[in-house]
Amino acid sequence: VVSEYLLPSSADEAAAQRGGAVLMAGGTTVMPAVLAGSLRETRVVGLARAGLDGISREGGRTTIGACTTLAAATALDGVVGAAAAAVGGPALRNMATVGGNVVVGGDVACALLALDATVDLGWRTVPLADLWRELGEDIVRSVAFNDEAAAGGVFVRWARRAANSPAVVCVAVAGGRVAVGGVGEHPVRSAGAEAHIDNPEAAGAAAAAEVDPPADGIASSWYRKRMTEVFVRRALEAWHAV
Amino acid sequence: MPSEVFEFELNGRPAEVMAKPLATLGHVLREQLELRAAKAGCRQGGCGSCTVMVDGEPMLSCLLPVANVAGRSVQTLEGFGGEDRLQQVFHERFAVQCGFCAPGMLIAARALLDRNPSPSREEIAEALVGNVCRCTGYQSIIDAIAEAAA
Repeated sequence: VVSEYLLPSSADEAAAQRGGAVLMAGGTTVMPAVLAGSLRETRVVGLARAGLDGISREGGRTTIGACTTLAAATALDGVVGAAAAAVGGPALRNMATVGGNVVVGGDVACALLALDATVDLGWRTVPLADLWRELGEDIVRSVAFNDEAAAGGVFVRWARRAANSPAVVCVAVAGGRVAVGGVGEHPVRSAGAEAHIDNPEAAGAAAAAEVDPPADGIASSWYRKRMTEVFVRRALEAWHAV
Repeated sequence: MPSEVFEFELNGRPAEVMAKPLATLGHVLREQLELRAAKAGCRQGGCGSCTVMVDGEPMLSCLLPVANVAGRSVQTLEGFGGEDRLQQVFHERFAVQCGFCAPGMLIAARALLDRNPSPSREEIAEALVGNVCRCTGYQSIIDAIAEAAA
């Protein structure tokens, strides 16, 4: 049972209050757990007033504050905007944040992984690919990526319904990198697909051979693996057509 | 968790509630302020029946802690006062059957028309993807919104 909810007014204040607490940005993944009584933590630190929202562009790179809503991120051209627009519906996107999606390894995280994005944790910056292993009690402050790669990127997604439905798989391609989401706890780069980047069919088969997806209420492991093959192929076909 | 006092604007008037900070806005609206248009549907952010406006943008009141809306402006369907054109056409076009989803649908539709006064049918459908209806099959709802926009 949660006994304390704090709304610090800066990221540093949040970091000071962080110990042993669960962090909450937009609340769209934490609140269902709070309401279900399934949180292990007894303290929640909210980031809604920590001043972490906003999008800035400088020197060919875009930086997105962790608490920028997915609704705001849909305004971005390219692969990140496309991934943000694929999540939930308008009301959910007005709450869910880019930082939250990155931490839970969702669709936007998949797009950012294909961009080889970097994550600012306040006292150090890590490649997104390392974030899930290294996050610990750090607070994601912002993510940054190269604009050119994002503009030329492709994001495709397959779900049970066309919208407001979690991805069976999603695939992002940018700058010769291929990221696949929905096949584990967080999105992964596919070395096999990248080795066959000019041959979509072979890339799809290689990507599927690499993954061992979970089975859940959305899809079986077999189906996710099969859809990985199909959607990596389609993503690369689309990417070569851009 | 101890309760605290939270103040916000509700349907154009000042409101003050004593609640636990992590209590949801939806819970506070329904159980303390007796405004029951916003429904507690899935409580996971998937059905949209709890949708309200916060600072003019639709949000899911079932996932929004009341502490987060302190100092902000909340509008529920009650704030439409039965006089919104959308409410009239929902009635005329039989866009309400059991009624459970209708308050959320109407908030989502109002948010759309505020931003885009003459949406295509596709844009209307896109604006409603977060709102689930198990009765109508959606066509009468889209018809009604299209008529309100005409």
